[in-house]
Amino acid sequence: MDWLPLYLSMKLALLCTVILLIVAAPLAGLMAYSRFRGKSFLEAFFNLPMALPPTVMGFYLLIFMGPSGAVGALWEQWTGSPLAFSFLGIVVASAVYSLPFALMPMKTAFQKIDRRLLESAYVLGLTPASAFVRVVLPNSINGIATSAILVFVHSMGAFGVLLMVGGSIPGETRVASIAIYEAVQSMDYTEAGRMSLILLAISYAFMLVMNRLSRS
Amino acid sequence: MALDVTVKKRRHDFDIDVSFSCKGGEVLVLIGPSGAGKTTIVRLIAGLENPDEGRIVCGDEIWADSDKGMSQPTRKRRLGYVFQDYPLFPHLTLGANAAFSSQNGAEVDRLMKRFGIHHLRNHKPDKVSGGERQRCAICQALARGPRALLLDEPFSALDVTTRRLLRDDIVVLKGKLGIPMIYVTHDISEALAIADVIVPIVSGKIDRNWIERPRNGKETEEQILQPKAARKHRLSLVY
Repeated sequence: MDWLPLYLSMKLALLCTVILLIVAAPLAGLMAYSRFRGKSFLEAFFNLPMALPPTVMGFYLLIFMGPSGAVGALWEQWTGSPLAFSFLGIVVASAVYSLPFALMPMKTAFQKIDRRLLESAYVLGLTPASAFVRVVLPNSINGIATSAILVFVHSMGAFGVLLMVGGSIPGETRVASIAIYEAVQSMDYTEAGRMSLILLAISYAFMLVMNRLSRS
Repeated sequence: MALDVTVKKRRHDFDIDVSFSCKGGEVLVLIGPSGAGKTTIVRLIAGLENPDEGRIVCGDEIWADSDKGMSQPTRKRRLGYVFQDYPLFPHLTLGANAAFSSQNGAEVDRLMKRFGIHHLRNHKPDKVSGGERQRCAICQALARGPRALLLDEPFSALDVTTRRLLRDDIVVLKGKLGIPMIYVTHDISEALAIADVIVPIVSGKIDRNWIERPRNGKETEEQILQPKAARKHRLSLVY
């Protein structure tokens, strides 16, 4: 069996999880605690990847990240290498695609924090930012872990977006989901079956952990 | 150092409109029925809510002045605030809770010993009793070296014996700390036991008629509001 697509999928999912935990935590905090004009529009925009067909999402990302796109051109100018059809490109695409799965559990967890704990923190001299780090985050571990699991599993299973933005370059963008699709296309059901079974086992294990977390 | 408070705030049910001063080393008790606005007044002092009008000055620091349009954020008003039902930080041990805003570990240890909870420093809040949690909350408030101490019905959820013990601790503390202390209660016996000055609050305002006057009615208002005089003349506070 070709292990490279599975390795790429794991690497992609892990990177996405780390990036989204860092990016989504302050965003979820903003959504949970702040009031500002246009908040509901911004929130709907962040959650859009959940409603859009992956191909539509992938199409827009390709436009932005391609050599003539705003982000892609700028990236190519800085680094000399293209963003689309690269591993980094699919990391960005997968992170955008999984953003709502990171935001929602964290926002819910932050909203469940007793407001009085935050007031206590302010009385004890903390700024809102340090109260977020020292009080909100440590008391939202389950929500953060749920976010991490959802993002990881969702990134492992992403297909349409990755195919649009990254194509299928072996060792670069040919992740497990794409390799399974191609194996089926070439009637190699044994290879497709093995890889699918591994993905199934990984996803099931993560779902079990998530159930445990939501019960505790 | 004194804490001078003059605040007005519109609320949907009634307006808060009070003015009082608490000297350093004194306990000023805000007493009144439930829903009289006592907690709102304390929250205004802490900066957790902003007054519509007024001025709050602690020693040489102006905490809020509506004429100048300034209000210091809560974190900059170096005060201690012990709430009735505010939880300690559940993810931290009692020791870490007490030391939450203090760099001085020796002082935190001293306070925890003084309040008899040092042996519980490695326990989480949900593993100790309500009285021990409130003792820890007092240590947490004092470890910061506050310029004023606000106590909002801090012991009302505790049993009578523990409440009396902690109340006695506050009486001892007031002389040692020398800072203004505002104590909120609706318990008349507690007010008379602890207060240097009593300020009766009814519907957001100071209501001196709320105090039942002695039969001869010769005492001045100032005397009546001094608990020593109240005790001497067997005054009682009525709802």
